[in-house]
Amino acid sequence: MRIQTRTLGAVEATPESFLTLPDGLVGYEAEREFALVAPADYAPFHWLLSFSDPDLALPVLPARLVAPDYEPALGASDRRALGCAESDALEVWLIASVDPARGLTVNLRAPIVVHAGTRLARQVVLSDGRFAIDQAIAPSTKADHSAAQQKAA
Amino acid sequence: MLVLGRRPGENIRIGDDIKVIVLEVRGGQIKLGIEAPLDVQVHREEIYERIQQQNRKAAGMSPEDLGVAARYLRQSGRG
Repeated sequence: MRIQTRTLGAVEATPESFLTLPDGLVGYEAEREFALVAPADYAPFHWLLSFSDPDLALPVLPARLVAPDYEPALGASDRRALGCAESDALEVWLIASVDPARGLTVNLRAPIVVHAGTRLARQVVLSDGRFAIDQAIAPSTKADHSAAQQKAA
Repeated sequence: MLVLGRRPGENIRIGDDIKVIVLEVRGGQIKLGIEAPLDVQVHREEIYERIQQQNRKAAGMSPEDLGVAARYLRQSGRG
């Protein structure tokens, strides 16, 4: 299936990449059907793409890649929403954004949790205030640009 | 909107299993205790607003910025 996005243009998504978020995303509660795709140009980023809203394409990173020790505590309602038992393995994804001042940041407070078996997912809002909404994980892109240029020179 | 006046120590019941307790009123601040089942999510409104803003920001990312960040992660061995 082809998904139209404003940021990435048309993206091909296979059924294995489809996800249902029964409660949508915070601020986008009406959007339920998504695909989680990995265009090669942006590895290791994946993109969470809404089937119906071309403006809703969110870059995400696997939590284990950027925050290996991160262990969000899920509540009973979260597990129920995902249709999963206590022992079921869940994938955890972090929504990423780039800020001119803070560089690349991820949202540790509200991860996307995916049940690989049911293909149900949910943006979980954690009650633990120690998890930052914009945790910096890389220097600002401007610094990256100049470093790359210096390397090239 | 239902408006109720309460004094410290008094409660409000919402349904069978949610209780909001007025613990303390001091200097323009109210301290509330909330008893609710584990599967009821309770958060400060600002948290939701900030997460919403962050989601919007992520949705508005430019592919160029993401490309730069992706290269950085790959170079630093996280790709």
